[in-house]
Amino acid sequence: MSAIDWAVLAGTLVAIVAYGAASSRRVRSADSFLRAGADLRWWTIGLSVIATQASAITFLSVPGQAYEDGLGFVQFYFGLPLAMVLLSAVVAPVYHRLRLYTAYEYLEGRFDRKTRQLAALLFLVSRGLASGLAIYAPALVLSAVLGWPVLFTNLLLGATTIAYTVAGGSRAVSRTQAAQMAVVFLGLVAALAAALASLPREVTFGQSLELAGALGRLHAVDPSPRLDTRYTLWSGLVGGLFVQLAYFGTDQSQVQRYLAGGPLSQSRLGLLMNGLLKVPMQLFILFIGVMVFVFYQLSPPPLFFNRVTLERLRERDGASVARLEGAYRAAFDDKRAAIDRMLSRSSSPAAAEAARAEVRALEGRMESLRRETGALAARAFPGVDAKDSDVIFLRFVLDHFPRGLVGLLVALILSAAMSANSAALSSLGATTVVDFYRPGHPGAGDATTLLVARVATAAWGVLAVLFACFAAKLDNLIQAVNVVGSLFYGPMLGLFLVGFFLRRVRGTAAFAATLAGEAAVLATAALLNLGYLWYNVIGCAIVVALAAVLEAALPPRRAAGA
Amino acid sequence: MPAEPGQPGEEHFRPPLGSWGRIYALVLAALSLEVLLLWLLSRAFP
Repeated sequence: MSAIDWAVLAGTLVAIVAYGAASSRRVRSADSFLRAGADLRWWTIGLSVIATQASAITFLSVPGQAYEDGLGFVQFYFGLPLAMVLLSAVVAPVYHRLRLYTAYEYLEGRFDRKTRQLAALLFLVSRGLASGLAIYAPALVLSAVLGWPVLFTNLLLGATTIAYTVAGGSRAVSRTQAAQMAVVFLGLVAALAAALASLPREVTFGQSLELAGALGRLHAVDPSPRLDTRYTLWSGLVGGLFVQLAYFGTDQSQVQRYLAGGPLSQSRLGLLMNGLLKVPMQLFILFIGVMVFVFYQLSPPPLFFNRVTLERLRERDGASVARLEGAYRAAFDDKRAAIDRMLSRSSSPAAAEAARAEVRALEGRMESLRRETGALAARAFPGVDAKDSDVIFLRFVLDHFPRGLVGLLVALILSAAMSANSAALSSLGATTVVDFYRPGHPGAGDATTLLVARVATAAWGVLAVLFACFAAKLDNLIQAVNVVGSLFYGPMLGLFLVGFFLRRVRGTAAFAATLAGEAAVLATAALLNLGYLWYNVIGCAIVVALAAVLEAALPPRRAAGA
Repeated sequence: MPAEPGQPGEEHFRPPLGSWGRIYALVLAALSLEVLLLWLLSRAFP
């Protein structure tokens, strides 16, 4: 990075942290620390909700995903607007009416304390581990590309986030998230403009789309009913609805964002703003990835986008790398000539179709050579990732973006990492205090509760940084965390749906159904080959059905006293 | 205020939709339009 890039990066980050720290001056009570504040308007709530979901990995890996698979990932978000409407109509009014601090408090009023604390505990464990990963994952990518030590990036991200989250609580989180999203939106627009500007002048925008379409990168909607395909129209609408309902309705890192303490209408509008913006925003990010793909159809791409790994491999096995690079370059040159024939207006329809088939075949050949390189690297260096899709976008930014813009894009990624982490830490601290400390210390004063909330938030931050520092040594654990995270939302949503809609069901039946539902989802994941979005539907359905059956089967006295 | 544990009150359940129905319809119409446009895009490049 150049001096201008460093100046843009440092200036942006210092301004955001200073803004967060300034927001903390109004925090004088536990209430203002745990809730974002009654004066927050709907756009701040909406931006904060969007920022909490969009972590750094969203901006690093989504363009890479579009590079490899096209726009299909956008289907994952089709259920989100539906979920926002349902949450706004059913869940937000109930949480508001009860004046809740955390979603899990609802479960004690509706069922009993053991059900509340089971849900809160599941949240603390999964979100606590995930927040470590949310620091580690961007740190790893930034370090791989920029050459920074991973430990330095971990500490930079962790320390800044902990500082303003502990100082200002939920209010500082929401307000800095609005500023961070401004950086993110600015960076995204600049990224698309720079990607379009980097295309050769002789290729029009329409021809870029034709090229991307010919190679399957504009295939956004798959209406096939296959259950084993990860993203289809139906898995997105149905499975996606359940995931987003669970995430926004029962995950405290989101619930805390819209339970700001102000009027219900502001929370509802914030959620609906997310429902309106999310699909276009994801499409925008994916489209940037598609344009990066088009760029590398017209200019030679590197054999492997992770340059550090490629150079290590070159030192270890120079002959193989040279052979692969030679074949890769030859395939690129042939493909480039075929692309010219395909896009030429003087080609006959039959010649253009033949050229299109040739382009597809040569692109397949190049993809297999890239995969072969990744596999070679993974064999040569155990622990090295055979896939390079997460670094494609950052590699493109560093190699082809003008000075200053590189710094803005790195600031975008760090902003996204800080915003998602600050929401996670704030919600972990709030859940620790509200669902575990307060019930055990009913006489604690406000100053003591505020102090405990700050200590708990800081402790979760330190734990997350420690986990991030050791994450490289815990490869299997990372996979386990990712899997457990996606397996856990269905039963949690089922528990809350039972609370909202099955009036007869009491605590013991709900508690037992949640545990049984979780076990059933784990068994399903181990035994069946299903797209993971369906686990959420299955887990939720099992808990709802089982809770109803158990309530009917339990003796009335025990049910009443549960 | 929340009811006693084990004795949920009316405030624990779904409220009436009220005048928000039209805003919800707008959000769902926007989603339908987006899905339709993306489906047409996919059909244009099979």
